[in-house]
Amino acid sequence: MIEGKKLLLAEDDNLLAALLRYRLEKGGYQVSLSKDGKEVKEYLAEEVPDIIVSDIMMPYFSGIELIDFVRNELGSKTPIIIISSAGNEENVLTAFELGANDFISKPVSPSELIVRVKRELNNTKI
Amino acid sequence: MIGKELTYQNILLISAPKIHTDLLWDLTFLFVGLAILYFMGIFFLRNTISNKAAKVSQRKKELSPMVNEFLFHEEDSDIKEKTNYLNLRIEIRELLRVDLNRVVLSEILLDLSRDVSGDTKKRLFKLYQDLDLDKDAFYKLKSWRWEVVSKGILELTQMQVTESYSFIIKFINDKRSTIRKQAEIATVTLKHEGINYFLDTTKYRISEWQQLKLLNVIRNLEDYCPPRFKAWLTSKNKDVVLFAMRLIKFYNQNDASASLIELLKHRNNQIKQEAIQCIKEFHIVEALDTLKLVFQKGNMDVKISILEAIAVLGSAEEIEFLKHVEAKYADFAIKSKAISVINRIVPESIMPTENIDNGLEHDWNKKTVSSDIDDKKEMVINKAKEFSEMDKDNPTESLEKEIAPISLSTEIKEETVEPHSEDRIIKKRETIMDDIRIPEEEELLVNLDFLPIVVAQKMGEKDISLGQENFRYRYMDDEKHDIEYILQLEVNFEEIGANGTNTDQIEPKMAELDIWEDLDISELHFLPIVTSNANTQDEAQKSIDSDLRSDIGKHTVHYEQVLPPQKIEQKSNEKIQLGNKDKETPSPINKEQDSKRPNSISEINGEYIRSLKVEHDTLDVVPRDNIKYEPQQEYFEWPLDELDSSADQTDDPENESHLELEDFLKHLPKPKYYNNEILSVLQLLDLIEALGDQREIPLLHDIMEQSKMDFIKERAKELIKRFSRKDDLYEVAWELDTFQDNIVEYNIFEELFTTCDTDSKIILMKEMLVVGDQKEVRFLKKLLREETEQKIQNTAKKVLRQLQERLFKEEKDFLEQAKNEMESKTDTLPLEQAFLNEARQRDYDNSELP
Repeated sequence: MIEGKKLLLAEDDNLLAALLRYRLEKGGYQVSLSKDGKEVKEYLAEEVPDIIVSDIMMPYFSGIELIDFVRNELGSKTPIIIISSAGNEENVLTAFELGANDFISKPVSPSELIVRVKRELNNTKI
Repeated sequence: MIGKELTYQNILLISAPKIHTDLLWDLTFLFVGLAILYFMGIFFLRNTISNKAAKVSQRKKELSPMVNEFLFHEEDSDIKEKTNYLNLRIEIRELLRVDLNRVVLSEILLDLSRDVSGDTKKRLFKLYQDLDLDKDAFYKLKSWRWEVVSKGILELTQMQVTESYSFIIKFINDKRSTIRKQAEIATVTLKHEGINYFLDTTKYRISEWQQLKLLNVIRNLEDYCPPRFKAWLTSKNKDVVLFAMRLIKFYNQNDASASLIELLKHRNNQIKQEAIQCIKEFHIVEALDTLKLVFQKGNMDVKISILEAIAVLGSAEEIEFLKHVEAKYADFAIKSKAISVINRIVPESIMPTENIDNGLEHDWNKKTVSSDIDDKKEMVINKAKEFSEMDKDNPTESLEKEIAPISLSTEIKEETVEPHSEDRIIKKRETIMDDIRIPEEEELLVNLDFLPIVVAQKMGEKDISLGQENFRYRYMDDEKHDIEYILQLEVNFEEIGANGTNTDQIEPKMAELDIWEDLDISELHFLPIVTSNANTQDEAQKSIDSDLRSDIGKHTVHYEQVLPPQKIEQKSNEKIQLGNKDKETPSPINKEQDSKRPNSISEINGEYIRSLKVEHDTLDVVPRDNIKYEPQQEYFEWPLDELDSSADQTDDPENESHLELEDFLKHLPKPKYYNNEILSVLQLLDLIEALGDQREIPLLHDIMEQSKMDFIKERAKELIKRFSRKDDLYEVAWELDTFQDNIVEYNIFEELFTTCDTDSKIILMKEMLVVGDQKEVRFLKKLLREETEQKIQNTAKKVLRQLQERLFKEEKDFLEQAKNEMESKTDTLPLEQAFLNEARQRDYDNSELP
């Protein structure tokens, strides 16, 4: 069941964040939006979402650091999907090494993101 | 003011002008005032800009959810969502009246278009045009400011407004470079044929960066089929030629060899160089002569490029030219390149000469040469001694056998001789000869390391008659004489073919037998035996074959029978055993067949296969009498034939049930039997009803006139009546209209109209034009009747007319499509005609029967 699954969306671009949030909410997710690393940390201190979708490049706290924080400091296995700009191969590889579950490159297709999120949640269930 | 009373003292040493203090104060106030004004201006400007930015940001926040709503709106959403969507449309139309909102909305869509892809992006483009934001961009194209025009082009390109193509291409030859470059990219992006137009028309330079950008655009186009770029090699714009060559190279269009060779003669060195690159890429060997021709006229870079091309394309024939270049040109780069190319074509043909110490002299008597050389020399001498002792009868062969390992130990390695290596060999020999001409013993010994091993072919001749002992003796004692002697020797050498194979005469039989000795025949059992029809075989081959056959006979070979299945029908358990008689099992093949049976698979032929008798599985036919009627069956079969014969079988125990059935059948109405003609006409009418249209009306009239049966007339009349209407689908539409008129229908526009102001009503009516259908037509008619406001009435009238036109056009298209589909199903020959002909023929055939 996807209905009501908590999703943390960490994206500093307001327009894209709003668009993805709208689409994900329409897809039945309960989306929390964080615009930078600080907000992400604050959110994660309070509760752990079912899945995290994060941009790599964020102010204060990058997506890579976020993965490190979630995996090593929180010790959580929450699936993490990384959004990276095209050609940022090195960061993507680092993200995977640190424990990212999937990545999607910009420009993002919201429908594709929905499918990937769904797949990751299904994998976690298994 | 000058010359008035001074308020300060003059210092004599400084001759300052006499200026009144008031003036200074005035100037001070003036400049302070100006500074304040300046800072205030800056403050005001900054404030304005930041306020505007804040306003835009705020507006973006407000508008972005609306945009999202529009982007992800689905047609099949519920009424609530639809209402919400329409309200949003009205709201956004209102907002778009303000210029700032239009700008902000454009910015939002442009930003999002960079961040999203797939279906969302397509919706974004559509929304941009739906909201008429493209009109703003078109308006920008008319501006006199280059940055505004450029921005307009960029917007239209980014939002894929293909309609703008014809407007943008006008800027391709604009004087302002920014606009021009933007227009070039737009032209190539918006339409696939844009690149053709651009290359055809551009008069200005295309910078390398621009070329890269254009190439990037082209390679990211979806379903792009590049044109043959050789067409632009004739362009008068040298940048177009250059770009065309780069595109040719990128798309591997290697059909422009002649043009590329011709371009080598171009005066422009850049074009020359690009042509050389293409020639090198496509390996156009025909260009070699032209390359050599144009070498002299090119600049340094061209010369280097030509030499590089020759290195890739050239053969030993180019060595002469390269030597000439090396000798003629003093420039180090060219000289060095020429040498490297020679060495690339014929490796190591030119040896290093710089700082090589050729004056090394050694006096053997003083024993100053390195011990390494001494060792080699000693080894050769010892081996020669052994050789002379071993085989005096056949010195050549034994020397060959024995010297080989020595050669390796003394690092004399065989080199694979490549094609076109004659020059190289000659050069090498010259080098050797140069070394040998100086009869210095240590030099000779050093250089001998790479010499081929030469041996005397005939014993008993003058020099060789001295024997190996003498040879050794001479070598040791009279080296100078020996050199002459060595040079005159006839040598037995190993001939190496161009492909590196040894072409020496090796006994073929021996060689092959060696192979067969290593071959394990048991590994070959999977191979079919192939026999040659050739009559002549050499004896060696025969002997091998006989050996092979004897070996094959020892092995058990399993054959797989592959026989044509359509000719041999057999029971599944039946097999024909061939070949191995031990494994043969009794078969149904009789003796006659047995005599014809082939001894081997190769003897099986069509005749033999045909002669085989095959046992078939016979299908037992159940007699009709055994078919019984079972009333409990789910399906019902009419055993009419049985009923006929049942009368004679009254004694049958099942007669009771048959009688019941007979009673049941008596209650059924008796069948009417029509003759074939009536039947045909009925079938024809059925077909006409299913597939026909108004074109069948004359035929139906004919049928009515000719037919005597009332029901046929009635049917034809009914069909004529039906086809006389404009179209069936019109009828359906009319019925649907009537039905819709009768039911109370929900119209969202009607509901919205109750709460809207005049402007919103007008916007709504425009929306009706886009999404409306018959419901909206009726509503608009109602509006025309009941609405008192003139403005709304006028708009309603206009919208009604346009909506009706649209709906009529849609219906017409639909009907045409349906008609085309129907026509494609029927034959071109009128169906009824063919049918009647067939019926007549059948009647005629029946009439001939007794």
